[in-house]
Amino acid sequence: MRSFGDLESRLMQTLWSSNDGLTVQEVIDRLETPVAYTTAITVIERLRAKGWLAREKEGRAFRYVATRSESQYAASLMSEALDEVDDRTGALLSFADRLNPDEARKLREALGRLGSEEG
Amino acid sequence: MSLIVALVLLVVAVTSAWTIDRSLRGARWVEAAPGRALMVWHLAAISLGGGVIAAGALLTHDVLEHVMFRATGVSEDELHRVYAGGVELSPLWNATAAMVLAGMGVLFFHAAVATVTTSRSRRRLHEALEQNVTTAADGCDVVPSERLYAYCIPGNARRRSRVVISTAALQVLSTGELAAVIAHERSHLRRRHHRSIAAAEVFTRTAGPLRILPSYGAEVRRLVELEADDDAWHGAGRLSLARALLVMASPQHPSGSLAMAASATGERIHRMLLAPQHDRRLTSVLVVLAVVAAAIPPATISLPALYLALGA
Repeated sequence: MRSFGDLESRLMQTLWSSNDGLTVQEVIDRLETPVAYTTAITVIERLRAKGWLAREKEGRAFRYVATRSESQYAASLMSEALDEVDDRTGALLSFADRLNPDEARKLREALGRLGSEEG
Repeated sequence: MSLIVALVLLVVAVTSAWTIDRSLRGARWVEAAPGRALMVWHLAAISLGGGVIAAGALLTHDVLEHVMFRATGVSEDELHRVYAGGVELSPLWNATAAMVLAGMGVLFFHAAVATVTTSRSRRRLHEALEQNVTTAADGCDVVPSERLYAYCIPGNARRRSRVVISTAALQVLSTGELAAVIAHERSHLRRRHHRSIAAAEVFTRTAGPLRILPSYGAEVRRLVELEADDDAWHGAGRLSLARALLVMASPQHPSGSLAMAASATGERIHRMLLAPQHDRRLTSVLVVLAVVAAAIPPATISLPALYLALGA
């Protein structure tokens, strides 16, 4: 997954800030810098094709709604960046790697026997 | 003369590297003194690298004369006077020179590739983080995520270093455990562990096929975690760190997987509970020996000159 481009990002921000969804014209009206209608509808349809937006018929126009929230977007971006990192040269240093269930159970028992030291 | 010096350098470098690898891998004291063990590993690599570079410096000069002799047909004595070195055109000489120079080339190649891929990975992470994170009171970046993770990304001239923690991890960790996690990550950043790892990784990729210092990369990765653990428990307590490790490393979806060899995190938890001790005198002697090994290449390459200077 790639992060949004500049216009994609501005359009998504506008749609995330509305609860009931917006038509293409309403999105354009809310942008700070004007964008041609054809440009806006092209990018919005591309976002819909990628699954970020859904649309429903309203009169003669379509109303677009974001399918995922902004924080879900950030989280998925982050998770994918994390998964794609080739960490052999220490691009990041992770706190812990996975234990297998058996080892985790034995260690939990060992820790439990020691009681509590502090929070 | 310089062929003999170059060969001595190579033999000493490879022998001491082999000895250090054998004696450090799996040694008990290493768990108790990870900082000293890291120092010995790096010194071993410097010793080996220094030996190869010193031999390479001697050889490069003579290879140059050899090439010029073949290319121009000027007499060897004339060339030798111009470039001021020894012309020894034996097959053994040429083979040794070619191997050492090729090794240095591979080392530089791996270093360049590692630098590019690592900085690209880090830049992508930094950019993804800049998109949407909240910064907690203690200076950590909090990422909204249901996965349990905590890590640090070293900064560079333009970007600050970050300690990143997921919202899920924030929820399950107690105050003491969280302090241990953050102290561990801060220790990585403060001690610049990423540089240790990068150096060892590049070295291991280059020398790996020859089985010279084969455990260097893996051992450095293990030892930097142990060293950061030591920094963390001094502030937060052994049990807090052990619990934090267990929470963060426990399988989130229990499955009937087969019991495998103990993991690195398992070893770290055991270590927090057992608090191993080490003999400070013994480890000090080992560090001094490693320093001596690292000093051998420059000393050896200086010997012929010193011999002439004292004889004159």
